[in-house]
Amino acid sequence: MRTIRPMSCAIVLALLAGAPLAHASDGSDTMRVGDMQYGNGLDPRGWSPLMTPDADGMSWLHPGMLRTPSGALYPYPYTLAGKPLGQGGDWTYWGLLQLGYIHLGGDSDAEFFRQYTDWKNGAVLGLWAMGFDNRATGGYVEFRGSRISGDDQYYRVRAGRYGHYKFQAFYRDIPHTVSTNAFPIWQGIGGGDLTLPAGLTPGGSTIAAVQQASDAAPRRTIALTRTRSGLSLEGQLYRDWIGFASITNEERDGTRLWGGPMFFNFAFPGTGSPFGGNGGVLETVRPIDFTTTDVNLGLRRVGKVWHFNALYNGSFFRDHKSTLDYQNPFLITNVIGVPNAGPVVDGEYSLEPDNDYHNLRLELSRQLKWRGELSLAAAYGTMRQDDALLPPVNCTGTLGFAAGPFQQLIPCELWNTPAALSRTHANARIDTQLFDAKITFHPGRNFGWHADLRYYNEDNKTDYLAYNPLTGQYGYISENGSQGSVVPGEVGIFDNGYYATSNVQVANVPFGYRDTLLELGADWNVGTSDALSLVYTFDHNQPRHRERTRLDEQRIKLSWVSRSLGDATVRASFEYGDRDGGAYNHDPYEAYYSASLPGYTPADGIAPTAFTVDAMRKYDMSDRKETKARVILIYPLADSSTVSATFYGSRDRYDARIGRQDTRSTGFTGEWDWQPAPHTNASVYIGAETTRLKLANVADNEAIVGAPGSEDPSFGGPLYPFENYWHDLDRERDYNAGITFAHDFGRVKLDLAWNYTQSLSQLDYDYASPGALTHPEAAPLLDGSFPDNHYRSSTFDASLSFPITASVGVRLFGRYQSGSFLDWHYLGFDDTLVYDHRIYTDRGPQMHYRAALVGAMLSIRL
Amino acid sequence: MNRLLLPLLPVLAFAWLALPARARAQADAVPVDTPQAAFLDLRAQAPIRGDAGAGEAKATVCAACHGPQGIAIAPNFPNLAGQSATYLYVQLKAYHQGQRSDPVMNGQAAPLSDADMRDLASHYAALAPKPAGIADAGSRGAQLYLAGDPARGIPPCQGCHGSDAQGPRVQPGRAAHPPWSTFPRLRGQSAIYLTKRLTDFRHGIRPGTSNTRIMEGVASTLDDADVQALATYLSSL
Amino acid sequence: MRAIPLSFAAVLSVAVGLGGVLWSAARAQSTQGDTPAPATSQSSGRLSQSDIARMLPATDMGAGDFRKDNPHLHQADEGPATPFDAAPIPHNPLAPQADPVGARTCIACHSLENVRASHSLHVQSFRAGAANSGPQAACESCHGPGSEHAKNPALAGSIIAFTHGAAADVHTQTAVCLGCHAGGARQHWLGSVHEARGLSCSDCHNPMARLSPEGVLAKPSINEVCATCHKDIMVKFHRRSHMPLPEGQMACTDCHNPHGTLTRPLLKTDTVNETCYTCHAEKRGPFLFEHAPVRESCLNCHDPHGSNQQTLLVAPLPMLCQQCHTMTRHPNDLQVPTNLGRGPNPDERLMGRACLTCHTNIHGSNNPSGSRFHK
Repeated sequence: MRTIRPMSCAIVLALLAGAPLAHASDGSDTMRVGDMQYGNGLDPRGWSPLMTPDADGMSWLHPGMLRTPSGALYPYPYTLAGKPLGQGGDWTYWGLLQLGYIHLGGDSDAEFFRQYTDWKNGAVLGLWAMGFDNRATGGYVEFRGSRISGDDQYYRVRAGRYGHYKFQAFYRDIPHTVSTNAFPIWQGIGGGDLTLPAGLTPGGSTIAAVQQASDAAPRRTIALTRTRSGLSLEGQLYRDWIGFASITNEERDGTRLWGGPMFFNFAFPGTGSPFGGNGGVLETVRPIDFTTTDVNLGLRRVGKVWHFNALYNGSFFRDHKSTLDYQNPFLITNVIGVPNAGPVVDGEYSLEPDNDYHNLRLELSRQLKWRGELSLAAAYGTMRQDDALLPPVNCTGTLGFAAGPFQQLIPCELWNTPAALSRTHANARIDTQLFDAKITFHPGRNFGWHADLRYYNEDNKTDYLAYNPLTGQYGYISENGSQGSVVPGEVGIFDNGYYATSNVQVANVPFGYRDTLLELGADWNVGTSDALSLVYTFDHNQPRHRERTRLDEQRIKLSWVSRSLGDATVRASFEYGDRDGGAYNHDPYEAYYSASLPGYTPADGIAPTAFTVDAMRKYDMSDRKETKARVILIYPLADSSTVSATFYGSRDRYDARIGRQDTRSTGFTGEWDWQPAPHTNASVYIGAETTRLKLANVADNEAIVGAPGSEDPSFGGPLYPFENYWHDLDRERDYNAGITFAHDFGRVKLDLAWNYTQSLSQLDYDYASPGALTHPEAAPLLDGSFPDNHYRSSTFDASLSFPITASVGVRLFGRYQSGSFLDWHYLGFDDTLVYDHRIYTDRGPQMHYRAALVGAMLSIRL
Repeated sequence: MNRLLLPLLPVLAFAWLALPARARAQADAVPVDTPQAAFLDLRAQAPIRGDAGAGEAKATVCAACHGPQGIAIAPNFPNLAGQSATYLYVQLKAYHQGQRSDPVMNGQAAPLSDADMRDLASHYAALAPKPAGIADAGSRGAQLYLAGDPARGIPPCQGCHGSDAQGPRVQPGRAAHPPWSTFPRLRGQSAIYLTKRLTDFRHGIRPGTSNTRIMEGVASTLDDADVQALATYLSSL
Repeated sequence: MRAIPLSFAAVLSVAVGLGGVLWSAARAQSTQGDTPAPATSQSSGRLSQSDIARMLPATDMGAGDFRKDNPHLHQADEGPATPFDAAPIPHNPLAPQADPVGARTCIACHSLENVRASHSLHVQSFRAGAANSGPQAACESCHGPGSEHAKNPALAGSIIAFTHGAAADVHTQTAVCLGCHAGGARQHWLGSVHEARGLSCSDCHNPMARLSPEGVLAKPSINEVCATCHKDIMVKFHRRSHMPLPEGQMACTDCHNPHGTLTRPLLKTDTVNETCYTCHAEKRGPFLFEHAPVRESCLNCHDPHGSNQQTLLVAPLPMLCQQCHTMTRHPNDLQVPTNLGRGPNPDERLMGRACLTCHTNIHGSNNPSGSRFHK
């Protein structure tokens, strides 16, 4: 299984062997996903220390800088003169080394301060950049590296010869902090086996003991680090055939917050017992220990008329910890009041299986007359995994209970070995096919049209039957056996005996779809400064095993590009889409449930309880009318500044009485950039956006579950009465602002930046009657709104750089970041993480924080 | 502790901002015609205006060399009559500030105020240029002036100095453009003066102006024979 | 077990094959290297105009019809496209009579541009790699023949300009660049949204100066280039949950190919999900039990550009889930503030990570008991 390393090394060596020999022209980076940006929290660009504009500007012939065709100013060029390397050679080089120290203050462990930057007190490598160029041969080597900590660093080298080959290699560590405020009670965090601390009895602790364990749990940071490395080579292989090969490897290591279900607690609140209520809801911590290796190969032949492109991507994911076992502290009892056969102690998750992925794409295009082109593309992809399956449970002994007619014992040895499975390995596979054909013509300067046909098919070949040959039963053990230890009849299994009335899922649903899209478009230039285009799209989607077998969406998009409004460039578009489809079947999953198996006997002769309400329209399957509009404006203001603005909005109306009904989004951004001279620039931006999402749902009348009427899925029927109808309306408002200012005073360069974000989220609800609530008696306490969530972040950066000698300089810098946060999901978690049979781990992000960073950097021009 | 350090940053900033201000004040005190003067950036130079009448009154001393009607008394001096006013102004300014060196002109320009320079420039620009001569359109000079010599990297002079050497053809437009008005009219200048100027450009002029940088690049493509041919052609126009 | 050695054997064989081709190409190259270099490398000081014309063959870009009207132009053929180091002089429709003058003539006036461009990969490569075209081609390979411009630079359109207000239309501009940079990552440029919106290559790239570490960009970083028009997307990355773009670990082009792709959002892969799986490979599976909207599109639940909810979710939990799940019994109750941690009826369906506390394997479960993603 673990043969990747030697194999990948072999591939890399094979590539390296060819490296000095190949020939190349331009790059393929934008064909491959990932690793195009090397920067970090100190310098997101990975380039800023080299941005020292040359006072002479760009040209002796005109003042200022020219603008892009759309009207944005190009920045003043930087001082990047190379020095000769050695004597008499053709090599020149430039380089910069920035070394320094940073010191943190305030709440420097605030989650939002260090989300993707591993700030630490200590020495840092700000930037080490070197470039070597050979003006005679076109050979070059470039290197950039930076290090904040061992978990936050990058090193990247590019080398090659213009016109011959290009070689790239990198190593980087990317940190991601998920929470700095976690208090897991378990031991073995970071591993696959979480055990309870001394003082807790698995499957039998008192609430007080759990509370004590939670209070005593040390604060932990939940975080992961992505360690990526890669090599790539691109070159001309033979005549006009260009090839590239790249291999990247990622080790992802750390932890994330996870779960642990031992059946509901909300339905069984504590009633005074020191052991609390029933069920168990555990927020655990899972390990992240992944290796992903990607291989990309490409071959292209670019002719004057024919363009051929072949791409292969292979990705191989390996999960070194494929299970998470955890212990349950809570006492789980059955509702009929007899002693359980054994405590529910062990829970388990299957973590993600190893998987292999291959995708091969062939693209061919031919230029035609009338500035035309025919472009064909076809791709085949397959994702496969065949991990060994875990047994349905990992318990030992016997769970469940036996009393009178309820003979609901779960003998673990019949379920805790692979022999309890219909198949020992997953043998899961999804194949995809893509075909795209496009033809474009521009018969005149002022008119063009195109047609595009795209076909995509995703075929899930996984076929799993949940059948236990040891017992002859179908289905599974629900929630680690806890559900079956609480409720009669609800173990999760089906047979022709005791469980004959149980309607449970007995097979996987191989979801997939086939999508055919036809696009017709025309564009014409109205005069020399305006262009209009109109595109019609018909999207025919055929989902498999979903509520609809057919979804048709028609879209029309009108766009206008204008350069006729003074110096401004305006790009405006308006789009309208209308989606409908075939009959909506609210329960397409019957075939995968035991009610479809022979021997299924409805309890008391009543048909199975309705799966869901018939009025539900899932938002990916519902009829929808969508309107979108966008205007992007770039306006040159005088010689040295630019105003740009975006106005945008979208409206989606879903034809759903139950489900998502409506989403809207409206926003604006505006920006002003000013660069009056090489040594001065400034910018200001503001943005605002409002969004809303409205959904409706209906609480079922649980009192009649299992009674006549519960089989009725109709909205307004006995199970889903109108009086239990409810709505949620989520409204969000976002405000953004930022200012940057940089000026070189000659002896000192000052850089200031301020960035501000504020988001407010408001969730309102209304309901037809308190029947919509789990606890109708709480209705008088409700006012129709959740507490408002908010996220506010303000970051101020200042830096002073001054030269000491011609090649040595000092940079002093500081950052002050403050923020506040409220998310009602975490309300109360600062007081306790234990709520009856619920134990949480994460208290959530800090509600207020102020963090500061100061640093000094010595900058040496090499 | 860091909360204390942070307010220090702006203080530091102002301390350092204050320093260059003093440094600048010192720089201004230095005599203007030293070689240390910065180059004169003409890239954003707009066409100037001046009072030609007032300029005439101030031109008495100039006439000693450049002639009463702006036609030089000797071929080592340039003719000023009909020259671009802005060109004349920026040359006076360059003499005044030291970007262009000439033993006589630096002294003459030193006492001039900005208004004086504008007025003088306007005065000479308003005078009638030297009458046209008879040029040899088939000469090597004409060829260089009108077409350059791509094989040797010589651009045609007419691009900036006009096909008739009466200055560039200015087209109104909002796009970034050269400071056309600062480019001189070459027609009818003496061969001796033109040779001297081109030779100066070939050797480099420091600190010079942004236009000097252009002409240095152009002149570096010329050899002695080219200079001679061009000077001959232009002086005969 | 079975699939891995097989797949790697396949990869290895391709790699070995590639290595073999490289090796044979190198052999071919080294034998070529023994022959004397063509005469184009002689001192440029003694070149005649016809030498330059020969060095700078006047062909057009692509398969334009105007070839037919001009006997000087090569007719479109089936031959290989132009390697960049043999870039021809593009035809400038606004100055059809212009002749090439050579880079030395250009830089006589444009000396500072020459200095700046010398730091840009693009011009460096022209200089150094100009085995076929000669260094004299550096300027006019993009700007078209320069004789008309040199004679009258004030005449708009006399060379092909790539900046604001250029007389050359955007198609003429992009055709120049695509003359060498055709195919590959730009295979689908024609008809892409950026092409249709009239963007020129120089809206995002500036080969005349080195402004960015890589990519000859028009701004110091990829993300700043994209934000020129897409500021609304960029500000979403400042929200509570986002991918590490503002922190410098990612670029827009990690997922999107702005030069055009087979998908409408310019994703590099066949579908949205395949792009996401590139970094989130663990979610690729396939799993024994799939969650339909997850497999269909990650965007059903996540906004990759940023969100005010945890983990890029498009709506607060559990409402996100309740948009689809009315299943009988526990999913369909209205959750209200009294069910929060401080309320009288704390409810795990609302608190913390809500539904995901139990249905944690929401992206799919490989556990035989995981049909509801609890395991």
